[in-house]
Amino acid sequence: MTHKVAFAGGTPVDALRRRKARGSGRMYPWWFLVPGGIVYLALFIVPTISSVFFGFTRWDLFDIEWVGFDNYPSLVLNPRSAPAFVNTAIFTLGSAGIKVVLGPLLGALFASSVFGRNYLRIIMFTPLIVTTIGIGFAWKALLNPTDGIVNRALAVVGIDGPGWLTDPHLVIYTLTAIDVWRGIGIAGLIYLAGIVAIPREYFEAARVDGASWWQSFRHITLPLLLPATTTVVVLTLIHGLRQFELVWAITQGGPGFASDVISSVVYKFYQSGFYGLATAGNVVILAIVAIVVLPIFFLLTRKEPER
Amino acid sequence: MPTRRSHALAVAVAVTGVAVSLSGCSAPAPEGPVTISFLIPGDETSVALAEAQVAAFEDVEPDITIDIETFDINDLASVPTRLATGEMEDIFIFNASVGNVDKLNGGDSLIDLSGEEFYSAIPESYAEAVSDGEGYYAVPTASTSPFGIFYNKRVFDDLGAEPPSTWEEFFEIAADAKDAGYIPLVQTLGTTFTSQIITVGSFASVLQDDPTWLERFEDGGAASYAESAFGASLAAQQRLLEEGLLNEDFATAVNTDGFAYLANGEAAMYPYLGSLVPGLAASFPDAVDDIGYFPVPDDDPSADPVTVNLGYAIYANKAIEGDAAKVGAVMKFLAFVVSQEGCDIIAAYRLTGPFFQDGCELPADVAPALQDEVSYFGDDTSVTPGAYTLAGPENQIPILVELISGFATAEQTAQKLDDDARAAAQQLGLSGW
Repeated sequence: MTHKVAFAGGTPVDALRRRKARGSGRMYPWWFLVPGGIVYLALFIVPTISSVFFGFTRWDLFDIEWVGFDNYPSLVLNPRSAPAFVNTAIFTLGSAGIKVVLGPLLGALFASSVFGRNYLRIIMFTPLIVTTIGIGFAWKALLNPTDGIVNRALAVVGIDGPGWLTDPHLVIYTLTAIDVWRGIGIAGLIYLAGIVAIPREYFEAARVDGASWWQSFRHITLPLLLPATTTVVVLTLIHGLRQFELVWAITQGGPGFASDVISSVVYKFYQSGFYGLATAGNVVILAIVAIVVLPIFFLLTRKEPER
Repeated sequence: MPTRRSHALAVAVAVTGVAVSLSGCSAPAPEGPVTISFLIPGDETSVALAEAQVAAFEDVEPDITIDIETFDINDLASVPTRLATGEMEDIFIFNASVGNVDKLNGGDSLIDLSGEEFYSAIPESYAEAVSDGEGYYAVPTASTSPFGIFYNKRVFDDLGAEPPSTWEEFFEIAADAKDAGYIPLVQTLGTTFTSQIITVGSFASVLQDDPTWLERFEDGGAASYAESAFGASLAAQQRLLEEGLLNEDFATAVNTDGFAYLANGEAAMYPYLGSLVPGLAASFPDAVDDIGYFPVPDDDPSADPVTVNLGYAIYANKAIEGDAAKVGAVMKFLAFVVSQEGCDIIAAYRLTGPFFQDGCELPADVAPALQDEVSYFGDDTSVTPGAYTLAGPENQIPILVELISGFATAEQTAQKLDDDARAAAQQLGLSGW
């Protein structure tokens, strides 16, 4: 005959079940979110809400005057805004587009066993570690139309280099190229992670079936890289739409207004002392980023193939 | 658990602390030592100048100590911000441009200096620029810095040219200079503020033609850029590029390149402010005697009015008004700054033109360019400050860069300047726009 040891109130497992049923156990993991949540609330939620509030005011630091939605038509009708939106679109789509196309190729290069692969990875990633301001000043010197190395090198082969940063038709494309140069490393790295995660068996099966490198790449690698593509697209869109430091460090939106993007236009409003208008501009940037990025994110994640 | 000895020590320290603070409460009468804080721009010249002013003042007034704090000159917006958040020092330096007093919230944040004895030395044209209609709020800690064109006298001698008074004469000289192989006029858009010199420097000519222009312009846009002397000056800038009268690297050259071109005799003329003189003296001291000055030309041969940059001024923070000792010390310092001794110190560190105050004389031996400036001022002690109409330099600079670089015509530029002023007026809530 076995003795059953009787605990008052049942076994410890029963006690645990009872605590869980009362719910206090379920709350326990959530408490760990409180410190991070407080920081998130204080540094993100509160400023965002106050920005939305100040976007409805005329504010010169000393007085706050409620003007409702008046700032938003001013933003849209401002003569600087339309060209700035166009420039932002060119910059963002150009930069994101090139990174998405060159990224997988770069990732494949990193994943291959080409000689000097580690060295290559380091070189391509280094621009991301350097400050944007430093990169801006360096490229500004390199692209100087008369004294810069780029145009001097072109002159040696007899090409008369254009004013990369002084020709108003060319400058936004030059800035896009510099941004691609800077960020291609991280695109490559994300794609590298994606390529490495593809099971070897698929490639072996394809090789057995006689597929060429390009066919493997196009039919196996690319579709299975969709999660990596989603990540790169989302990150580069957000980065491009918000871009400020590179543009400001190199041209301050110049020459004239030729390379103004939304964020530099908003910054100039701050400089002019129109703080309410500038804050409304920041709310607009937030809205644009959300409207552009969220649908694309959902669209791409829905299409991800089952593994 | 603290030991009895450390416990006793803690009590002793606390008692001493209380005793010291209580003795502080029964402080000596206001004639005792006073300390005031002074915020200045952080560039080398300003720091050296302020330290010299403070040292000389503390010699005369040993009971007053002035602590200097600096701010980053690339972050001018930090000054109104500090004032708005109540963290401003007792006195501070800021530009004395028209409209800056409003940026600093006028009489609500600044002490009105108009009743002080030393203020009678300040000309009314300066006082009006640092007023909000109800008081005067700043004293100059600089000499006048005229807008104009600096020229190399040896190049002019070679061309047989005299300083021009009208745009026609100017273009004749420029054409001759080009034929003789010189750069007629240097532009340095790498230092963006220089794009405004010729345009803002025409303001005195605008007012000479029409003294009510600024009032009419600000009152609902009844005046416009195109119909004033501004129109001629914008057209001249367009013509400079079209006739190839600029240096090749105008888009990227910076102001030190401009100084070099002028000092080396490669260029005939360079538009700039009076601050060219100390700048040149620092980098090309041998060339200082070769440089002359004339104001920005206009279409009127009978007079050559001078537009002036007011430079840095000292403002007093209203927050100290309740403290009689501090206010007294501040007023003594400001009186010192505008006195002859104060002017002599400015002359030693940053002499850009004649002084605003009647009472301040220039030293005997000054550079020829400064002598030229004095001769153009003549007996007139009033100054015409360069006004950034409504929209600030942030927008004016890119618009003018487009003009000088040939991306926009003079008519388009005039229209953009008018439109920009309209946008700013609406944002400021001005009536009539």
